[in-house]
Amino acid sequence: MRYKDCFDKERRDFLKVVSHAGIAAGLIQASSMLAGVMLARTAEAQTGTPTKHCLVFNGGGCHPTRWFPTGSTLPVQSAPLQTHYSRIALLRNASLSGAGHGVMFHRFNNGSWSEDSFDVNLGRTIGANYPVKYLNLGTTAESALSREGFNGRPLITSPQAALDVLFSGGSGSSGGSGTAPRKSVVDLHYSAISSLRTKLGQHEKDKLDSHFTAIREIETAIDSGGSNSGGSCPTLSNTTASGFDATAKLHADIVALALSCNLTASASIAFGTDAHTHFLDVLGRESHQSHHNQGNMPNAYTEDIVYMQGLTRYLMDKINERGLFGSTIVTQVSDMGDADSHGNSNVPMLVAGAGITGGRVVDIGGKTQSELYQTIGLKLRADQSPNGSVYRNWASSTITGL
Amino acid sequence: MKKLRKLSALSPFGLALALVAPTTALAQNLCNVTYTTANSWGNGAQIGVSVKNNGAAVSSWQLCWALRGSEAIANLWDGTLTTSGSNVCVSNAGYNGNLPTNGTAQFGFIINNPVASAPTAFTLNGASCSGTATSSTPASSTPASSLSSSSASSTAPQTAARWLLEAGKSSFHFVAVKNISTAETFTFNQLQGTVASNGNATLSIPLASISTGFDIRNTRMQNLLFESSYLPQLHFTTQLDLAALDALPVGAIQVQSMTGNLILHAVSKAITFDATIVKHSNTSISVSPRRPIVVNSVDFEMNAGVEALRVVANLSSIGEKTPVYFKMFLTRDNPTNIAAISLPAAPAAPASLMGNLSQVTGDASLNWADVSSTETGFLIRRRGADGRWTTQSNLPANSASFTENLLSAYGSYDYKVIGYRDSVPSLASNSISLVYSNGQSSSSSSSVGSTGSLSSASSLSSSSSSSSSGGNGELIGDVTRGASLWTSQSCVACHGVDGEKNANGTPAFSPLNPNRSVYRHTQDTQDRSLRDFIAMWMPQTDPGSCTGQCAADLEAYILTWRRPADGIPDNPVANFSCPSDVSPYGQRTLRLLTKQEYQRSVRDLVGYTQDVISRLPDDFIAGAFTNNNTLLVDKNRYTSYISTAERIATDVATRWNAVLACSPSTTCADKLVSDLAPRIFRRPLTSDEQTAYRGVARGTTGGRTVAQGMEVALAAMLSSPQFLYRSELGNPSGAGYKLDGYEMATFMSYTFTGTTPSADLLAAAGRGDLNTIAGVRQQAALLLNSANTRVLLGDFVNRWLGTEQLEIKEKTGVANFATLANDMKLELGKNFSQAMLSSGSTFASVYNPSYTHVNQRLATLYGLSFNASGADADGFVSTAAGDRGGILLSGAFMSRYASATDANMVTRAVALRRRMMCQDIPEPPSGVSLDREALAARDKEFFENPHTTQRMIFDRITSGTSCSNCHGEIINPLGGTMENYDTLGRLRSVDLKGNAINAAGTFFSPFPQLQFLNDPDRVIHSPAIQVNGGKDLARTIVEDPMVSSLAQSCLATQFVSYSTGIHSIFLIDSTRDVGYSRISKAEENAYRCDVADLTNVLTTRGPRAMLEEIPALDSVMYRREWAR
Repeated sequence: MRYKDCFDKERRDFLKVVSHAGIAAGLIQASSMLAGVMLARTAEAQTGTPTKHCLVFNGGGCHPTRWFPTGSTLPVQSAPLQTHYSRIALLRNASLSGAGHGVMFHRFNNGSWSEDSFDVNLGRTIGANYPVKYLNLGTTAESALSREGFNGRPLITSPQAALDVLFSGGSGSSGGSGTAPRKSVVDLHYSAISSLRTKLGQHEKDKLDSHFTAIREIETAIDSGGSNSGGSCPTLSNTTASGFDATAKLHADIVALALSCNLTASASIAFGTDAHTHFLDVLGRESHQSHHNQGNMPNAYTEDIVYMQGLTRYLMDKINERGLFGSTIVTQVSDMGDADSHGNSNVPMLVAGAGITGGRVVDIGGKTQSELYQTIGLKLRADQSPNGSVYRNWASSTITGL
Repeated sequence: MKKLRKLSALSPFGLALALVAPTTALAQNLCNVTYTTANSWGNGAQIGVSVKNNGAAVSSWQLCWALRGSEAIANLWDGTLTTSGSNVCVSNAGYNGNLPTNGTAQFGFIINNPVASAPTAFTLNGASCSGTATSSTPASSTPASSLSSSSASSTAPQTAARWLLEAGKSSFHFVAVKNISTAETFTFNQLQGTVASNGNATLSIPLASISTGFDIRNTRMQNLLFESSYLPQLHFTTQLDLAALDALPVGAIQVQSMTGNLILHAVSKAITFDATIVKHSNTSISVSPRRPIVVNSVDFEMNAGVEALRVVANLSSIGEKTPVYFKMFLTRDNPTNIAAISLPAAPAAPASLMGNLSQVTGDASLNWADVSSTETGFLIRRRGADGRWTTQSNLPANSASFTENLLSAYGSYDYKVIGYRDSVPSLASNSISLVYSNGQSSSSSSSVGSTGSLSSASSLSSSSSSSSSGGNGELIGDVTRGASLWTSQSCVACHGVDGEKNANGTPAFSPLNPNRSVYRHTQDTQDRSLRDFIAMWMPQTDPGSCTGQCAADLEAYILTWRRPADGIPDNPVANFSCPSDVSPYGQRTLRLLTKQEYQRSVRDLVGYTQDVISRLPDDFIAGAFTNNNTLLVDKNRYTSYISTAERIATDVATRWNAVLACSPSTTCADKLVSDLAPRIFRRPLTSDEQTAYRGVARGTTGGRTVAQGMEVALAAMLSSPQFLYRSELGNPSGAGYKLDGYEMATFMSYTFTGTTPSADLLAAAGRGDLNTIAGVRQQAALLLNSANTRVLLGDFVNRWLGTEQLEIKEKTGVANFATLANDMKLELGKNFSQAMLSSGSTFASVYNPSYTHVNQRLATLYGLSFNASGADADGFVSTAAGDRGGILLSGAFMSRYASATDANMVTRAVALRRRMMCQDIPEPPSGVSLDREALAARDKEFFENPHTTQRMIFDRITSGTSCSNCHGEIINPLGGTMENYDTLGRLRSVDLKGNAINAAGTFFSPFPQLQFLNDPDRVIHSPAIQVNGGKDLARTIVEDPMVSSLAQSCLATQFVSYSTGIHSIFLIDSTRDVGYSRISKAEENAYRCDVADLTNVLTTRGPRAMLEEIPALDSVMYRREWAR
């Protein structure tokens, strides 16, 4: 069965479950939570094929000699990933279209000003029918990492804000016996936006169109009536964090939760920033501090990378605990190779999970994140997804053998 | 013209032999090798070898010979050694593999137990230099397979060509682009080409056969561009593998990289391209480039000709780069045994060019040594201020002097001389520079970059001659001699082959930067020119042993590593000037509230103080400041706003009385709409809005109780577009729009107090007070008295300087740094807001005031006395500044840009340039460093030396040529001036090792655009702006006209960026990519003209007046719809 048919079937199966349960389709879109639970039920039987993606930015690069293994044992800097190595393909000779500091718009993208970043584009293709198209989280405020078309989408640094996005897309707090409260709210907003549109004409049309669409989406949800039923998706016991380490891990928890509850098919998580100004509270120093040694090579840098890759490992642990590796591909990119020289060879990129043959090093011969994204995008069949027409072709060639 | 036959006897090589025998071997034909003993001692010697390629150009080479006796090579540079028994082969290093026809490569080594005579039998790429093929060389040799025993010699002019060009089928085109967009294709009517049996392929084109469609254009191109009356031919030579061609099956298409030599306009240059070779039949092949070859007229010194054509044809432009495309058909049929084309050998380069310029008459006279016996003429080429070489004269063979008059055209002129035979040029002579200065009595002559061959006989012979000097007696350095000295004086031992690395790629022991304007030895007290530095301090083992001509020659050689100068700085030094036709409008826009603005607004509107910042989605960061001008509201964001508003409304519903002074009732619901809603919307509601909200608030819309209705209505207001967007749309006015009074109130309130307008300000708007500039200024002056403004300016300066998260920095051994950091942020904020708001302050108050603010903890930390009387609510007092005060010498700035233990002059200087001067330093390029572990090992002792300061370490690790482009002048000498402030921003006189602090430095490049060290034409400000220590730097920022002008304009730029939400990179001279498209130049000009206005107010009326002027700027009050 071709993938598109597969997907349509999944969708049809899902809607069947929905109608059997006596739930209006509008409500499903309204309540991220409920929709996620219901989708999860239909998706249960469909593991092994990649359907979801988690994109990881892990700042700081690596020393290639301490990153690539010669046998099955990972050397010191990649060692934190050892328990997952059987699912990981480490990419040798990987480059970036922009290596170095201060160009985060090259990490999930390739420097484009006008086209989607990879996480957003996957959200708009494979994630089109999920309650939250894409969930972009990160430890460090960054506006240029994710982009939808021309517009930057600042990543979400606050776990509480992320949980709000995931779990309060429905009709909100109870307002008594009458019309759903949010119905009145959005009615008022609707007319305000309409009136602004007449005032502005074509000017800043995108801004108002987007706001308009947001109102309509919420309104559609409310029209179907009812309130968020909760469902069986486990919530997190802890919803706040302070400090880099705790925030990074809580974000990883949220990503795993959102993927496992089928609230989204495209998550991204950024550990740090390519300015290397993020403060590693566990190590007690700013990331950049260990990157240019003045004689005391290279222990501190290795400590940094071991810590940072520990975060990727933590994320993979969570994804594994929730049984997501059968359906999810995890892709990691970084900002440079050897940070000492702001190098642009052997950038520590990797892919892992569904449909990936792990436990090996794949030489990609200098190809960049563009080819990697194209390869993963096609693997996820984003081009054949229900919204495949907006799939962004990243490169004319792919990475073979992944 | 001498007879060709004499060539070998009188060849330049012959001269060299006479001088350097007995250790020189003569080899002829395919290659010439010189094997020279530079130094010898007991049982060792230092040998220099140069190999001249007389054959086709090659992209890699290997020279082999046999060792004699017990010779053993110990150490070799500029090549890679392989030894097999007594056979040794030296392959090119990574950087000297290209060896064009007549090109020379050289390498050197130390040999033990040398035999007194030189070896005689050499092979180059497997072929004997003396002309016979040999089989004793490694298998990698390329041309051997195509050599037949009967035609081994590379000089077999009468041998019939193996392949012939089929002129009728072949084509050759080039494209000229005039007036930017008009491309025309030209061709030549005659093509000649052969491939000799040894694979030498030669294409010759008579330039008189140019065909452009117009006779006059043909003539002009021949005369002005090609100079075809004395340089009649274009030649292209390359080497083909004939055996491989023969082996190619019919129908095969092969793509291969091809390197050849293009000889045109008396310049010979290697060209590499991908060629498509098609075998049409066993006797027919075609060769064409895969894509057009781009020939740069500059490379062939034809750009002056291009310019002459442009002028004579009255065109606005002609492209200097020309795409060339050809398709050559070759046939193996040569029934009449047409001979292969044989180009004459290149004449030896004219040597020892010297010149003199009479400042009185303007006569420039040159003389040189004619060491060639084969030339048919000489060309004198000159380069003036426009950077283009022009042919000044074509002289007959055997000339050795030339004179011309410069006709009052003052300036600096470079000259060189090129010999030629037919159209084949010699290498150029050394270049000299003559300066014709208006009314000055002295003339100067100095060596500039040269193309002289390292091994040419002429230079070897002149190295034994006496010193050469220019018209005023200053010594002229000779590049060729300098290159020899580089080895013989052992410079190579410490400084490597290129000042940066050794022949084997390891980092040189002591990097040398050729780009510096001056040099200073660690033991010296002053800057020196490079030659004086060499004379005084070099070589390290024997200073003073290389002075005079020796130092001048070495200087000339080192300066060849500089990028060639074109007389024009890469970056201009001009300041922005507001165009007279500026369209002075700002962008008409809706600006989404930031999280902070939302938090403060709900505090001031409904007394809600619980945290909303951590629940709202992140703001957009545009440069230093956050603003949401470009953000769109999508479902995720809208969900957050509604959820947040609902939470606030639920909270307010428990305390309506405190907010509206009434309890839920219809009257109270009406009060919500009539009193609170206009404050939330920051304007009166329209009647439609009143009706709609009243219905919801009363509960009649939606069928709720009035209490439920009021809660829903408030939630709707606090997530409404009217509240979330700061409206800056305006009403039609003239060619644009003018903000109305309420929009002005909103702009002013959020800009100056970070929150929603007060009832008073809205009332002023209602009265029309904000419709005039005078009214705007008056209300601005009032707003600046708000306590919020001080808080906001504190936030502003901490974001501007990047210290807003100072508390997360780690300071080794300072347990309470987070507390101190928050104190420092307050110190910085108070110093800044005092300077900006005090009516008596000036720009000097920002950087170098007489006061500073400290609390008890900071006073203790800084060692200042503290008197608690008069302390403000934060426990701070204003006290005499001493060596502190101002935003630069603040604890926050100094400790933010420092490491955990020590000052960091790099991050301080970069932050100062970028943030305080608005000079854009690019991020370090990717992959700039050499092998860091090797460097660390090399420098271990240096780093650990107790007398090595942090500054010395930074200088050393950034001394590589690529790092030094920014570090050499722009970063390190400026950062060094702040070394007397430690990791916590405390004044210090000794460093962590107890060494005295050296905080003397220079403020290079005080221009809006930086002048990078690798730009030979960069502008170095004169007199140098010398600074000693942080306090002196603060004073300089205030007092030096250049530096203060940058700093003042930058301060105004920050406020325009902050208040408009435009990324500051779009408001300065920088094209850096920040991830989204730039605003248009016209829109940029609108804001930058306002920056200029603000700067003017700042300098004439002070900082507070500048702040008051912000809302009165054209780009604030007047708007239009700029395309973005």
